[in-house]
Amino acid sequence: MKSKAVPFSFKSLLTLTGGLVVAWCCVQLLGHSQAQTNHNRGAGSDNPGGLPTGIVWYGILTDGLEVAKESGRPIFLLSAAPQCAGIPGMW
Amino acid sequence: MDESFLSDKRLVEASRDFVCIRLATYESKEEAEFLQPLVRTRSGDLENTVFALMDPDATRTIGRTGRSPQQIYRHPGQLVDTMKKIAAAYPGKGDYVNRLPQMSDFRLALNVASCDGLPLVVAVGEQADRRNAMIKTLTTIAFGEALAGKFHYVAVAQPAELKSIDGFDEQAGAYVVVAPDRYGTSGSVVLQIQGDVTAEKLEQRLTETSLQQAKAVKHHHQHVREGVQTGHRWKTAIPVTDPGSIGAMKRMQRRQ
Repeated sequence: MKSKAVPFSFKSLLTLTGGLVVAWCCVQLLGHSQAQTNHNRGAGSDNPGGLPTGIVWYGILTDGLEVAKESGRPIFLLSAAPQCAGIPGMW
Repeated sequence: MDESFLSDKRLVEASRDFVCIRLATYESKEEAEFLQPLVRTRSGDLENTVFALMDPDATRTIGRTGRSPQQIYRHPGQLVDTMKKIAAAYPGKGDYVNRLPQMSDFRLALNVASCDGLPLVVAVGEQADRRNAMIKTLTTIAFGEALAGKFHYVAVAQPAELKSIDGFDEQAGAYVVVAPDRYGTSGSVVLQIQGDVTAEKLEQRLTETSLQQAKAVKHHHQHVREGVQTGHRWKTAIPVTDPGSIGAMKRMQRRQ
């Protein structure tokens, strides 16, 4: 019995596989791009028309420590120098 | 300081269960003495940045301390998970606040506001009772979601302290909202309101202002280079002990 001819040649199979790979890469890139966009939107930008909501910082140690003690809330403590190489206006 | 880490929305939400304190390193001897033992540094001295989570009595640290949150946590979500566990262990008295999150003096407040790219609300009152009344009013609105983290605050006794601020008119109002300049050494008035305004009205005006303002963005190298060229210098209250900063300042001096 004669075997039936295969509908796709090896070359066309390669072309189809290559096309699928390219399509998959495009989907991945688009997905990554969308995720990146969403991430950027998430960073305190719920107020795109103005100043973003942020952490409320006590700038005086004794004030913050007293509020923590009186309120029973834990402390998130940071310190940074408000100058870079002696130049103000930059942490 | 990586502001993108600290402005993560989940982190901002988690911070509401904490009392958040951010100090200006080298601007107070007493605060430096508190900070220095919290982080073991290679130099053995207080370096530019410190990060710690602490119990409400500030008698012990919780988890690892370091130079910054991102030194310890790979991404904000990790820190948020830790903060949630700590908040559950110390539920505290909800939204109790009785102090304004303010800075210690105008000069430092203007610089810090500039570093953050945010406006500064100044309560000007020569008499202590009047100044305290304004601070009390600001305290009632500073933590509301409409304004939380959008402004810095400071109270001053002498209007003359605002002499470097463009557009300041002593008669125009005791609440002065200032947009700091790039170097936080000057600025301009964006809003002035009378000191006897109600908290509701003040909140409304500040909210409107917050919608009209945008957070200033600066580029680190350009800022420092141009700061050197234009002769802007910051004198710290106590000597800088961070070897990296000392080296950078020496290199700057040699270039001049």
